[in-house]
Amino acid sequence: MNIKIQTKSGEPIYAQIVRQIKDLMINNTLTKGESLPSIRSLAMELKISVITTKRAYEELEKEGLIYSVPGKGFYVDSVDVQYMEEKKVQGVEEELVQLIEKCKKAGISLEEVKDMVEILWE
Amino acid sequence: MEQILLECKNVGKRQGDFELKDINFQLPAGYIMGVIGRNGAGKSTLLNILLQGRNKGADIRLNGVSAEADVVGYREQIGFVLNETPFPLVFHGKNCGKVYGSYYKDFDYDKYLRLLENYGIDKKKRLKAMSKGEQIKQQLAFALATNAKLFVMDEPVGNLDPIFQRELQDILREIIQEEKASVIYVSHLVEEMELFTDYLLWLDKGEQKYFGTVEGLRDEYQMIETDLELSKLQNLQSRDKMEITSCIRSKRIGGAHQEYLVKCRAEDLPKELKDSARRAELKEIMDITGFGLTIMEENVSDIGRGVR
Repeated sequence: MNIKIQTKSGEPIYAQIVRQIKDLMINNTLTKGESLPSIRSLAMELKISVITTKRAYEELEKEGLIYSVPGKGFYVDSVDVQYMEEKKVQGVEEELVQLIEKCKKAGISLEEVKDMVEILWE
Repeated sequence: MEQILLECKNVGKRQGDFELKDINFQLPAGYIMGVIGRNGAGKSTLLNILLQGRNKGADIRLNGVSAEADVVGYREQIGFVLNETPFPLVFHGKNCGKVYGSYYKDFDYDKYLRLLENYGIDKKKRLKAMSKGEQIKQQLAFALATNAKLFVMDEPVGNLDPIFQRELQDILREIIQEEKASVIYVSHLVEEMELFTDYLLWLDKGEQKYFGTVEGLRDEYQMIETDLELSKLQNLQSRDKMEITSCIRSKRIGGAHQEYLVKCRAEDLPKELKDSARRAELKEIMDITGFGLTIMEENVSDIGRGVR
C-alpha cells in the first residue's frame, strides 16, 4: 500500500492516512474484502506511532469503509465509490466557495482567476 | 483487550524543596511512552523510582509483579539505557556482559556480543576509553540482550550521530512490535516525541499534568491566527467552551496580528474562528501552557527598523 506522510503538513497524520486509503478505494487499488496491513506493521513502515495508525483505522471503521476481524486484522468493506466521489466533489466545491470569496475581497476578477488556474493546472 | 504492562499508583517523593506527587498511570504492552517536562519537572526522580522499584506508599507493578513484594523479580524485567553509563568505567564490554548479565534471567550473552559487533564496538575496549555515543550503544546492546519487558531510555540520543538516532527509533519500534514489551523514553526533544511516542506523561513542577495518548493531547489544543484583539476573543470565549491559554502579539507592518493558543477541541471552536485555527503542535502546547494566561509581545517591525 503506497502511502506518503508529510510530517510538516498542517493536516494531522491520521487524517493523511484516512484520506489516502479512501483515494486508493476510489481508484480501485483497494477492493472489497482485501486485507489491510496490520496497525503495527503500517506504523513501522511509515515510521510513525502505533496510536496514530490505530486512530486512522478507527476513523475508517467508524465510516464503515473497513471492518476488523478479531485476531485477524482489517479488511476493506464494500465501497460506495459513487458516494465517496460525490463527497470529494462536494469538498472541492466548499473550498472553491471560500476561495472565490477571498478573490472577491482581494478584487481579483474571474478572468484573472481563470488565467491563474490554467497556468497552475499544469 | 490490551494487557496492562506497567501500572503506577500514588508514586511520589519529597526531596528538599522539591516534591514529586501523585503520579498515576497505566501503560499497556506494546507501546512507547514519552516522559516530557522542563528541567526540574521531576523526570529523573520518577525514572529513579521506576528503575529501583522502591517507593513508600506507592503501588508499582510490572507485568503483574509488584515491586514492593518482589523487587528482584520486578527489576529483572527492566532493561535500560541511561545518559551516564551505570557500568564501572574500568570494565570492558565483555566484563559487563559476564558480570551484570547474570542479574537477568535468560541473558543472551551471544546476542550481546553480536550486537556490540554490529554497533562497531570492540568487546575488549574499556568503557572509560569509549566515547559517550559508544557507551550508549554498549548499554543498548546489553539491554537488548536481556529479556526485559520494559525498556527505559533516558535522554539517549544526545550523543548519538543522526543516523544512529534514526536507527534507534527503528530498534525501539521493533521491541514493541510483538505487543509483549513497552518502552519509556525520556527526552527534552519534543518534536522527536511527537511522531514517535504513543503515550505521553507530562510532568510540570513535580505534578502530573497529562497522561494519555499524544493524539489525545493534541486534540485538546488549537492554534488561532487572527486580527481579533484579545478582548474580542474573550467575548467569544464567554459564549463557548474555550479557554485562552496564551497570546502572542506581533506588530507587523500593515497592522497588528495575534496568535492564540486555546484549550478547546476543534469541533467546539466558535464559528468565527474555525477557518483561522489549526491543530497545535506538541512543542507549542508545552512551551506556553504555564499557569493562567500568558501574553507575549513580539515586535516584528522593530527588527525591520534595525536592519535599515
